Amino acid sequence: MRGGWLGLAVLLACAPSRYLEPISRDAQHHRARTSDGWELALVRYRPDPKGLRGGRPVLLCHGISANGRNMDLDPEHSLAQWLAAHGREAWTVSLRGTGDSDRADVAAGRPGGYDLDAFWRLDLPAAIAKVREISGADAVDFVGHSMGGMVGYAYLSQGGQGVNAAVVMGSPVRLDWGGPYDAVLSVAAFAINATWILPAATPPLLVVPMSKVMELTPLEGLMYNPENTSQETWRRMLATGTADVSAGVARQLGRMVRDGRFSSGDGTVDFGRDLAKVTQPVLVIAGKLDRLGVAPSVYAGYRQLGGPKEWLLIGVESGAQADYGHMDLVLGDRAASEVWPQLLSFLDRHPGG
Amino acid sequence: MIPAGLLAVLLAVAPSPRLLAPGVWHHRVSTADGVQLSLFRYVPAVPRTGPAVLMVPELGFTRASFELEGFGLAPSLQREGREVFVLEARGQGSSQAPPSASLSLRELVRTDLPRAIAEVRRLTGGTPDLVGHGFGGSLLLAAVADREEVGRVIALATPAEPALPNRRLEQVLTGTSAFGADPEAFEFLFLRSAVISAARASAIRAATSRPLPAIQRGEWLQWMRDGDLSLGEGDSVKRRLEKLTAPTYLVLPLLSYVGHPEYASPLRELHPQTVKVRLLSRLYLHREDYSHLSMLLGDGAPADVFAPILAFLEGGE
Repeated sequence: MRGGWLGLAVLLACAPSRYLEPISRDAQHHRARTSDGWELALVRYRPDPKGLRGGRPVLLCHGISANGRNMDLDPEHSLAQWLAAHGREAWTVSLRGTGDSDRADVAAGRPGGYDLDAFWRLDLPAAIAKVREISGADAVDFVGHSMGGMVGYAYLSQGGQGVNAAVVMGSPVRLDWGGPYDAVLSVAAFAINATWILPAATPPLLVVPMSKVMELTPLEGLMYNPENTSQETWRRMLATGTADVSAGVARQLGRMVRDGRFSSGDGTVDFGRDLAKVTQPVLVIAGKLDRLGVAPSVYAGYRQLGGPKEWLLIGVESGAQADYGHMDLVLGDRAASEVWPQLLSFLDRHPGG
Repeated sequence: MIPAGLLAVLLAVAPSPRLLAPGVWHHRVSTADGVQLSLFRYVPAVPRTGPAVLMVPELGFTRASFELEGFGLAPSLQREGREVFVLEARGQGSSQAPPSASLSLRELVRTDLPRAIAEVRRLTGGTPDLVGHGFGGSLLLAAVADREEVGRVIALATPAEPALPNRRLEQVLTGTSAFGADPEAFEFLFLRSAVISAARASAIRAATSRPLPAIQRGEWLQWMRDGDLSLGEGDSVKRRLEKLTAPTYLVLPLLSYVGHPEYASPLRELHPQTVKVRLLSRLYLHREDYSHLSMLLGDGAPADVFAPILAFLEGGE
């Protein structure tokens, strides 16, 4: 019996490593320091000289419980490398507490409890400044997936300095859709200690060793459409691209479920309303089969935007082979032909001044 | 409103209702411009538990979208003690299709829907609750938006800010056949990914749709292209929806390829205090993500859709 437990422990410890994906040798690693003293990991891909098309560098921002590798998993599933191959300088950032960026450490002056406001107020300005400094560009183009798009929305709605144009993918601005556990979620989010870091990366890692014996798990069914993203790719993402979640972020999302508003952690800034002040061009992309950033929740952001904007729903209706789920937009086997060219075309059509 | 005298005349010439099945009657209702409409009445065998409910199907669909072989929202509410009426408006289902000048969708809003509500009030003596499906439902909301004599409203995938969703719907609407005539298009538009047996899907395709008059097909297409339907004299569906005051339950199937949830959800942005939303998705442990018709006729509809609708009608949710 004891041996069985030991064997299971070894399996759990070792199996994920099989799926770990080393980052490309073309990646250049940089660090940006936020005004409150956190160091963020950024990765830069220089544009392929053969495909050089000009345009500003593109900063890619991941979603919740993820890190910069979401946008750069492997050569076949990397929006960053794809953009570089198509002539755009591309950067990924790992927000605080994720990837190779600094973790919360009270002794080092980096307390936990940070929320989405820290991402847009502190992390994004630091990342944008670093990209501008290294690239020499006057502004960046921004691409955010899921919560990364929400971070972009918040930043743009409060001025958006240094951003020329943006693309958000699967980014909701409402989370109250009448679900049976909405009430529980919104209460639970406020019941947890705000300074905790929730070990969100651990359960997915435990799933990875089961890949040979389990069919699609319920969670996977919510995250992606297997017609677009292979289980193998998903397992590599779990091993490489997940991260723990600050309870402060969970609280802020819980507030969205409870209040039906996309607002700052203290509720004083209504980002949803302030999207009307955005002047930068924004392309809003939703996946038809996205069960997390459901199309109406993403569309609500599109409706609110004040500047030039375009709406794109990715699915069979738009010519894709299958309807897109949440992670398919960045990990789908055909995203490079069905999604990203439209993203790049939008950015190319909005070069700014 | 129809003048009392005119209503009396209309009633005098109306044929007697016909019994279709136990508890199900087919009434013929005459409009002020002389069009005979079909109004189906589901009389509960149990004591009445609340106001009558008037249901309006999607454009091009019949009452079968609310009741097919004893299954559906209409008999479900009937069993719970609600008297249910299903209207087939002019040019729809078994109702009369007058000359094209009178077939405009505008007449559904101005004439047919108010007439049906008046008839239900006359037959039951009370203010009905309302259920509208898809674009037909949007017209129902427009018809009652500025009226006080309605109860609670169920809006099933009812676009408030529509757009042309896909080429497939455009192709079907530029043809002359019923939706069901093209099995592949029907499955895509109305039953994609539905949890439903093949036999049942086939029965749905055969029974639920009827050819739409050309003028209505054209107006529907233009409505989606423009994002709004003009009702004349500076009025439009969108403007009417801005005036909606009734407590409304907006039910959104994630995988509708006709009444996309993002086209319908702006209704809540217009009326955050009175419109409640329920998204149908596997995210919420629902049986499926639901399509335009499976939300009404899918295997999981009784638990995932009908039960919360009844709860809302009873003042819950």
